[in-house]
Amino acid sequence: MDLDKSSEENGSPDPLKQELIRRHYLRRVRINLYRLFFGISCLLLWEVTSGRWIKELYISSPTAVLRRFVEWYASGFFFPHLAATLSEMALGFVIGGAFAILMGFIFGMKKLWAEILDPFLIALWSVPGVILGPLFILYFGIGLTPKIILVATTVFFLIFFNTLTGTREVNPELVSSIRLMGGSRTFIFHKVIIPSASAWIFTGLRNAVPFAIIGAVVGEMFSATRGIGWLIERASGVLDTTGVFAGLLNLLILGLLLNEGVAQLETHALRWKARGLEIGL
Amino acid sequence: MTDSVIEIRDVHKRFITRKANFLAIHSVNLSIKRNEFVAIVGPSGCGKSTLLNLIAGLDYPTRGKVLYEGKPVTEINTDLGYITQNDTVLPWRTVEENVGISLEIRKIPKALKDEKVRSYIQMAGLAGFEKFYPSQLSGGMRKRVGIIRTLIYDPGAILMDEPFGALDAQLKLVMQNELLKIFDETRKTILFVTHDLGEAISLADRVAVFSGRPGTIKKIKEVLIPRPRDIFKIRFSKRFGDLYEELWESLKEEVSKGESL
Repeated sequence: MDLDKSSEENGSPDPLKQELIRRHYLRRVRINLYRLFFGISCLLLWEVTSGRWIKELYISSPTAVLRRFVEWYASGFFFPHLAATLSEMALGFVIGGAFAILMGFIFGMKKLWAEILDPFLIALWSVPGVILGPLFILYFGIGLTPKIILVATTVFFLIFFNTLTGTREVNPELVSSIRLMGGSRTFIFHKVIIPSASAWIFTGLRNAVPFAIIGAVVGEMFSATRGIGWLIERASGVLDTTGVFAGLLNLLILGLLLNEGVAQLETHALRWKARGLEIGL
Repeated sequence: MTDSVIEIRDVHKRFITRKANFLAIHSVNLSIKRNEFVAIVGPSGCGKSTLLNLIAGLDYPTRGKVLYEGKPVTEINTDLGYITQNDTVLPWRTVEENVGISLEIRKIPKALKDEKVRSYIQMAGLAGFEKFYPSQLSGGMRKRVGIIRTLIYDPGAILMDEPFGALDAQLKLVMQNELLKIFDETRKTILFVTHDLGEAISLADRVAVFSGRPGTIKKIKEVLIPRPRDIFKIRFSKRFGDLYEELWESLKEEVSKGESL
C-alpha cells in the first residue's frame, strides 16, 4: 500500500487512512490502560499480602520500597552508587560495543578469518561472561575497571554477532550496482555496508542493554566498595528485603531509560525504514 | 566493425558448482553498434542475465571474448550503466541522494551536482519527492529513480535486465514510452533484456531471440519501425504484427521447452 505524504500535503486527507490511524491510537490507549491496570493490581496484591499472609521480612511491601527509594534520593546517599554503576555500564557498553562493531565489520568482510575462528567464537559465546568476574577482579583490583571490562565482555558477543550477520546480509546487488558506477571499496563500505548493517547493529545494541546491567551489577556483587549491585548484595546480607527491592527498582528504571535511549537513536538512524506499517490492518 | 560499442565473440559460459555443472550460454555472437538499441528476448532462465553480467565484467566467459570499445572486458566495467529488474536504489538514501550518488563517486562539485540532480528529477517527473525515501515511493517511481540515477552519469552504454518486469501492464507501457523518449533524446547505446516480445519489438532497433538452456542467439531481426515511435499505437502497425508473428514462431518452441523442464 502506498502511504505517501501527498494526500496530507494537498489538504484532502484520505478517510480510510484517517480511520486506520484513529483505530491505531485507540488500540494504543487501550493497551496502555490495561497495562496500568495490571501493574496497579500486582502492586495492590503485593501490598495486601505483605505482613498479612507472608511475613514482611520476606517480601517487604511496595510502600516500604517506595519510602526507601525516596529516602535514598532525598538524603543523597544513593548518588555515588548510581554514579558508579552508571559509569561502569556506560563505559563498558561503549568500549565493548565499539570493539564488537569493529570486529563484526572486519570478520564480515574477511570471510576466511571468520571461518577459521568460528568454532572458537561460538565456544566463547556459550560461556556466560559474568563467570569471568572473579578473574577480572584478580587482574584489575576492586575498582571500576574490572566491572567495565565485565560489562564490555558481556555485551560484546551479542553486538559482534549482529554486526557480523548485518555485514553478510548486505544485498550483493546493491554492492555491484555501486561498483559498476565506479564506487571504491571505501565508498561501498561507508555508503552501502554500514547503513545496510545498521539495522542489525541496533538490534544488537538494544538486546545488549540488559546484559550491560547484569555485567555491572554482578561485578559489583563479587567485590566492590559501591554501586547498586554492592548495595543489593549488602542489603540481602543483613536480610533487608526492602533495600534489595529498592535497588532492583533502580535497576529497572535504569534498564528502561537506557533501552529508550538506544531506541531513540535507532529511530533517528533508521528513519529511512518504512513507517506506517504498524498502522496496518 | 570499429563502430561497435559492445562486441561478443563466440562466448561460452559454464557454471561449475558443487551441485551442478551446466553450460549457461554457448556460441553467442553479437555486436552492438553505437547509438543502437538492441533487445534480447527469451524465456526466463536462458542465460540472458549471465550475458549482461559478462559485458559488465561482473563475471567472465569460459570461452570467447567480450569486447567493450574494442578492448576485452577484464574487470568491472564502470563506463556502463546497468539497470536490473530488482530495485538497486539505496533504501537509506532519499531520492536526490540516490540520483546524485554516481556524481558523488566522481567527486563532482556540490553546486554542479545539485543542479544536475534537480534537472534529472524534473525530467523524470519526480519533483516534490526529492526528500522521500524509496520506501515511501511507488514501484514506478522507484524504477524512475533507478533509471535517472544511471542516465545522470552519462554511461557509454546501458544494459537493462527486465527493468519493467515487476510493473503492472499499464505502468509498463508508461515506462516504455518514457524510455523511448529518452532514447530519442539521448541516443544511448542500449542492450535491453526481456521475456516480453512485444516490449522488445516496440523499443528496439534489432531484436535477438535467445534459445533456452544453454542459451544462444537463435535469430536476429531488424525492427525497421521508424522513430519516434508511439508505444500505444505501434502494436497496431503491420510491421509490428508481421515481426511479432515471425519472432514468436521462433520463440514459441523455447518457451514450451522451458515449460517441460
